[in-house]
Amino acid sequence: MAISRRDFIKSSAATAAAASINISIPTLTQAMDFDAEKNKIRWDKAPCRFCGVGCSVMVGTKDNRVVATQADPKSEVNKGINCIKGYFLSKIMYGEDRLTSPLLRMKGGKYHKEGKFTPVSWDVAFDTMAEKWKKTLKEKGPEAVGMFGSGQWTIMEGYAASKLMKAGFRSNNIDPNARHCMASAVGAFMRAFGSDEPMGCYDDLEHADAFVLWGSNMAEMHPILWTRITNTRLSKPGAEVHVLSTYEHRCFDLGDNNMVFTPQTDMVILNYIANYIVSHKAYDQKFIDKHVNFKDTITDIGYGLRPEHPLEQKAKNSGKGKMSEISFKAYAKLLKPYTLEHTAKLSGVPKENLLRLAKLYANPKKKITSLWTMGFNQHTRGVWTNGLLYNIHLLTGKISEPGNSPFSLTGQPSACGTAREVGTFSHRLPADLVVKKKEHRDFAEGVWKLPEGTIPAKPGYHAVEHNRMLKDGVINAYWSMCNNNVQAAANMNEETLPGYRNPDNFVVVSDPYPTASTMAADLILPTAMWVEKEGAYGNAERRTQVWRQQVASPKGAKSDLWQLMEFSKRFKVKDIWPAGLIAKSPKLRNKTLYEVLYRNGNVDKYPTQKVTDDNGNVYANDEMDHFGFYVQKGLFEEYRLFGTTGPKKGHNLAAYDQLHKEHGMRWPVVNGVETKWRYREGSDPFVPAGKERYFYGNKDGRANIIFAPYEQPPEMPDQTFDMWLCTGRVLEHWHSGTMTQRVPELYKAVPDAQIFMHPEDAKKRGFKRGDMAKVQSRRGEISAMVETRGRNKPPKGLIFVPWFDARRLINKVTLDATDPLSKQTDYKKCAVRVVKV
Amino acid sequence: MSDEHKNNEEDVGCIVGAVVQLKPGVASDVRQRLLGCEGVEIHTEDEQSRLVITMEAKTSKAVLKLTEHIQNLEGVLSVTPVYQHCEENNKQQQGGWQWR
Repeated sequence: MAISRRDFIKSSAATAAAASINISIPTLTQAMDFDAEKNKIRWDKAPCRFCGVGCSVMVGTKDNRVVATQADPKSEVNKGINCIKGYFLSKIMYGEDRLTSPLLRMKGGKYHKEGKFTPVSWDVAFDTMAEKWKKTLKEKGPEAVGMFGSGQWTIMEGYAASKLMKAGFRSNNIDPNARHCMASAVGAFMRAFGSDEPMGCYDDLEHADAFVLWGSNMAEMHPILWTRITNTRLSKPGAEVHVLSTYEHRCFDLGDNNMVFTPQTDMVILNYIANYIVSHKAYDQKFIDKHVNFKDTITDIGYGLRPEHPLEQKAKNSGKGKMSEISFKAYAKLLKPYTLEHTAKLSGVPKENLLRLAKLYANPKKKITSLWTMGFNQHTRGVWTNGLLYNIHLLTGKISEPGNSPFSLTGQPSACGTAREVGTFSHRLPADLVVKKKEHRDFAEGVWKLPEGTIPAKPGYHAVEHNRMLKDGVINAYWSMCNNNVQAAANMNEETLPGYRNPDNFVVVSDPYPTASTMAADLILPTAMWVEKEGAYGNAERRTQVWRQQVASPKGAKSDLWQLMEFSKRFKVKDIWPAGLIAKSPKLRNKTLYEVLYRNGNVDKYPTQKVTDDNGNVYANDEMDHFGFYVQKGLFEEYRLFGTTGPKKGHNLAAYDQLHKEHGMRWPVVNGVETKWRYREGSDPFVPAGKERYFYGNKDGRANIIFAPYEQPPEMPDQTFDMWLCTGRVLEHWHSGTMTQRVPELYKAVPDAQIFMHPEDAKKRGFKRGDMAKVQSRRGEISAMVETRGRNKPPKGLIFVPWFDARRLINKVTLDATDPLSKQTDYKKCAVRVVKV
Repeated sequence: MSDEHKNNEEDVGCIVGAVVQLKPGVASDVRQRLLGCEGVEIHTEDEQSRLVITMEAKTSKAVLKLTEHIQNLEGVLSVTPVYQHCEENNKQQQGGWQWR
């Protein structure tokens, strides 16, 4: 019987769906075979462009256009399933307003801060930009240039950018948007374990008996992992799910123990659980004796506001993070005030729910995976709070073993792979090295073949300070890539916009689409995205995934990597480095930064080659064609030296060629084998035999239990501003919506940000569902529609407003208070009022 | 299958394969309601109340609407898309998002 093409596609769709739950439909023909043969659709793997889960998708390309996608059945992450964002992934490249030419603000035929955006050539764009950079470097030095990067950069782009800034311009003023997202998680990992990133992996989602969600709304933000949890909950006898949040969300549908707590009191609940475990002697004494130290941390540390802010003036130890050794007995005493009664009173959570949760953690027979994201990280005590959860897992020894896993989720596709592992933060270098340690700088300079003293020792300005320094005119030449910080940064009215529009500053924004940030820039650079270039991402479970270029970018748009490397050609060492440094390596004197950083014998080691897959398909590589060597491979292999030969062990990445073959590998990768559970004997090759578990990031191999008390947030509801504001994302849109809002289906599903509000709060203020209302804080206001039903159900006294909507910029309202240790903004709590428009 | 689809190889519209997780114990009810949705076929199911379905429509917008409709049916815990093939891409309606 003849079968139509449509029938074939349908049977492929059904087969793929069935295969994802391990059912085979044998009579149906595999789409890929049929398509490859009859329709010339070429299929290849690529990680999803969106969140930190790192799903792999099969990308079907025909006539230089992505026409189909399938969840990758060979992926251990998503096991053949997609979420709704992944489902429309291919469309993000085809919005009609893609930028295809550099746009410079011009008046009277030349650049003018108040000019109109005018298309210019790449040469004019880079010449104008280079002139501003050179002038700034000459007049004010490296500390007056800055770059804002991204956890959405590919690994190679982040690495190339970090090199250009730290070793080329010799400025540590580079920070990624991961500062808004993961900095608190990083801080806590370093303090407790001496090494960044989780010990566990997604396999824990099948091994665990119980899941505890600390503030995380995984059903909407990490739907694929949530599906895996749902499967475990529904198929494993006795499995349970505990959900804690400051408002009800979709995860509550599956929750066995749902808890809505007052903002910031997660700290109280965490200390209560530790207190319960200690006072009921439910801790694992053997584990503690062998693997744990106890510490106390300095308190009253302020809120990361400007130094002149009254709250900073009042804080005794503003910004300090010193820890001191204490005994288990002293730790137990510090926990004493966190009783069940006290905790229930402060948090608003009923005693029976708290007790059930504490008993769960205390039960030695239950394997527990705890999960969190922005609720803990975007928190003025984020580092402390992350740490308080590790305390519980360390007290009970429920760590680094299948199913027992404190797991810090991430928001961006390469928050781990690029921002954290490459170290594109203002204080970091690759593989957990930091600029302030001479040994680390020496090592980096050695790999990069640069003279001693090239990398500055002082950490640069962090993300929140970038905007303050732009406003104050301290940073004057600024490049933002791969993110939308005008929309994303808190307190935009008072800090971000005045900073971008400061007449002393020249601000460049690279993006595929017009955004709130490009509108505020002086020069816009059109950028190639996702599979329009070759790249690599690293997900939340330490998995590195590489993809090939699938399609050409729109004419005129160039990858971030191309932009960084081309721009570096415009600077000569002799023009921007001090004479003393050049004297240490005179042969560099007349070279360009491009030659010094990217033609150093490492990066240009691999000549141009044909990029092919196992089926003999050939792929383009625009950067390789342009620069005349295999740029991505050279950058990755040079970067890999930091993990394989650097001073911090356990950061070994797989070889670039191997990553092209695998569907992702979890580091450390030694002898071609990945690591599922770090610090665990038999799983992690760096744990010596007989140690069972060994936290080798710290010199003594022990993890730190760090006591920290509950401290109040900087702003709480009062008589004038009587409600809490919490911001966040929704399922259909990813971050500021610059990609997803261009997918008409996603836009139409959730077009506008709403004010999610308790019906009684609405009634009290005279609002009906659907009325327009104003949200006001001490800093700004927005108008939006009141929603009293819907997916998010806040308790009385709290509203939730998502931040994807560029027309309703909730960050006019939010406060730019940060965790003083991680410098990460708290977007989850400030005081507002809701009034009539 | 209509002649239109047989004859016009280009016009496949949007086809999606998905897994629908039902709340255990409600399967037969939801099954009926799913079969009542235009463009939905149920291909198979497993012992964990997971159904394998395909959804067909002219545009991806219509498939999304269908997905949302199914997601909101009583007794449905989740709809997980696995495979999508859309050939409306070439003439894709754009401009969902714009500055107002």
